[in-house]
Amino acid sequence: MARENTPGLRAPSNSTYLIPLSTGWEHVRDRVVAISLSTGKIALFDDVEAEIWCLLAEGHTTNEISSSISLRYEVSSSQASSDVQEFLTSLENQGFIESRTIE
Amino acid sequence: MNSINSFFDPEIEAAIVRIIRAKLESGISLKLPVTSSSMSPILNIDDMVEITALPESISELRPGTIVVFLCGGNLHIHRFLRILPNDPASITTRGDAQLKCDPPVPLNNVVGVAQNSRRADQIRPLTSAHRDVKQSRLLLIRLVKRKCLEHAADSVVWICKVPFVRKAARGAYYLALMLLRWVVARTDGPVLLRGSMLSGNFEPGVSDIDLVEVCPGAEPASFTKYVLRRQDLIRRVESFVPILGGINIFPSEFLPFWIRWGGLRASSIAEWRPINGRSVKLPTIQLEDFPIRLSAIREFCSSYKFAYRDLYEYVQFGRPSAWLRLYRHLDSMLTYFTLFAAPASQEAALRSMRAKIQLNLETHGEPGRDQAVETLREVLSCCTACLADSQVARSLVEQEVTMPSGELAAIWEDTFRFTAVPGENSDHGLSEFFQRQTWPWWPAPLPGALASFMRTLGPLGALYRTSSNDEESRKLICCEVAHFAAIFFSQFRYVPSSTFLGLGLYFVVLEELLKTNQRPAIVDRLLLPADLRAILQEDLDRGIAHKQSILTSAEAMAFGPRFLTSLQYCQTWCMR
Repeated sequence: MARENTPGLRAPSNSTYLIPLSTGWEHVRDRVVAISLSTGKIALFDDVEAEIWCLLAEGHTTNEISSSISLRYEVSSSQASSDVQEFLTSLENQGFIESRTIE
Repeated sequence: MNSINSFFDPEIEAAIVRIIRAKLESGISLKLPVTSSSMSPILNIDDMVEITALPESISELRPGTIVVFLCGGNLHIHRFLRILPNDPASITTRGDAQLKCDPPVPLNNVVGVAQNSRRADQIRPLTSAHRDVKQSRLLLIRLVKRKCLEHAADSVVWICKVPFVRKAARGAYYLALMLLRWVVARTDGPVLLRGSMLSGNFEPGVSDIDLVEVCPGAEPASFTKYVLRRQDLIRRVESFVPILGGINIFPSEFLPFWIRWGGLRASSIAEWRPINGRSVKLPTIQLEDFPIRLSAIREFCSSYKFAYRDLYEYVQFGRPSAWLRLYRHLDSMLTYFTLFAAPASQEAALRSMRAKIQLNLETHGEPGRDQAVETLREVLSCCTACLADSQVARSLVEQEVTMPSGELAAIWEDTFRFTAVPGENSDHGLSEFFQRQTWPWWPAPLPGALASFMRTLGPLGALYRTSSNDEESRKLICCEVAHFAAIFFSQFRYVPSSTFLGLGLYFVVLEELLKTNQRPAIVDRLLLPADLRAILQEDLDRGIAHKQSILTSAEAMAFGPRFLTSLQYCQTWCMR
């Protein structure tokens, strides 16, 4: 069942990433399909990646996402933080999300 | 073409169409990079195309408009031609550089309209509804030329049934060779004649003239330019001598590599003769180093593929030249059979069937189509049964594939096996492989008898594809890389009359080998240096393997150095 996406959602103050209007996405079963219209890239996220994406779309900060992943998958917070950051950086490089410097 | 085929799923495709349409309708444009030359010259690789929303009604879409649609997990940018008369929910599309239309595209899969393209900071509008007139003429000329050549070949085969005409036709080949001698007379390096023309075992209307040019070594960029210039010359000569099969051009330093990995063609190197008076000292073959059986099995597979193509041409179009070629391929296969020590019973069965076909040729000409399909199915089933024999495969690979290091030998010994039983997946995968390679001849759906014939291909595919562990896969893939690097080293562009040659095929096969092992990360597991691995991965991601058309000079220039990088790697790895 497809779920409405929330493009352009502004995250809370300490978030460093947001999903721009040029990126569209949908839930398809337990996966997430995302398209960056600015780069033409298409991605399909499973499992943890899909979960990170949903948390990001809900407006959570990077730290909050890392904490959530750390708790849920019982990995160290440093490991979770590193993995989440790596994933978000790759998304940014492909144009799916944008980073924001928050004062 | 942007690929999502690694996770192709109808539901996901529908979601992609929904997302893109919604965004385009909200006024955001989609920017798509061009990854194939199917729309050349309007759109070239690396151009960026801006896509906007479709008109409200499909009736407003003018024929000639460039549209984007999702098909088979890929986003395609092709020209809209018309709505199907018998199915208003589908449209016909075609790439400008392609001679045939795409399969019908459901309107539900069309996502937008191309507005403009950006190439090197230049923005060009794409809204013209009319195909480029010059391009249309060129395509028409290519189509007419191809058809004329096909009919000419068939006519030659047909009239050569009269003995004295056959002699005259063979004489024409020698005249053509004289013309070629004159053309290459001023070439600095030696130009050598190889293949059936050299041995005199050529068939008018079927055989072509194969040449090899050995040039002094050069650094990659200038060598690429040299090859392109030569290929342009070859194309011009080919207009007068359509039986010229193309020239392989090598630096002299490359010859040892060619001998080691060039397959059975290379084994005849001692017989090559210069036709332009330049002498050359050709390396001698060390038989103990030459992977004769592995080469034989590879050539066998190649002949098998061509036999299939010829069979299809014969069945569909009744072309006598196709039947004769098919017979020659069968003949070759029998030779290869001997080289890799096939079981005696299967070899005897093949000989018996070949004799039957020969008798058929001598007495009645070509058989009926159904009979042809049935006979060939029997013959090739016999061959695949042999190839699928795990013992044959085991002995071939164990003895002739050099391990990158000895430490893996234990793993190899313990786990090596071929799962030769044709499974559903292997059958399907190989069908797709053939479909792609023989695309210009491929109908939908396949005739029943031919579909049955195709099923016999399963075991053959098993030889290459169902290896049971990564080390084995890696070795086979590395050998294939080396082999194709050797074979296609200088052919950055397709030779016009040889659809199967060129860099495109190299990537097709490589991709196929990687994909069919169903290990997405196998590129990472290959013993490749980081830069080559990145190139390989990028090419696979960009769908280079789908390239079916002739490369433009610019594309060839871009690919040349890449290919040389691959080659250098192969030389380093495989020669040690």
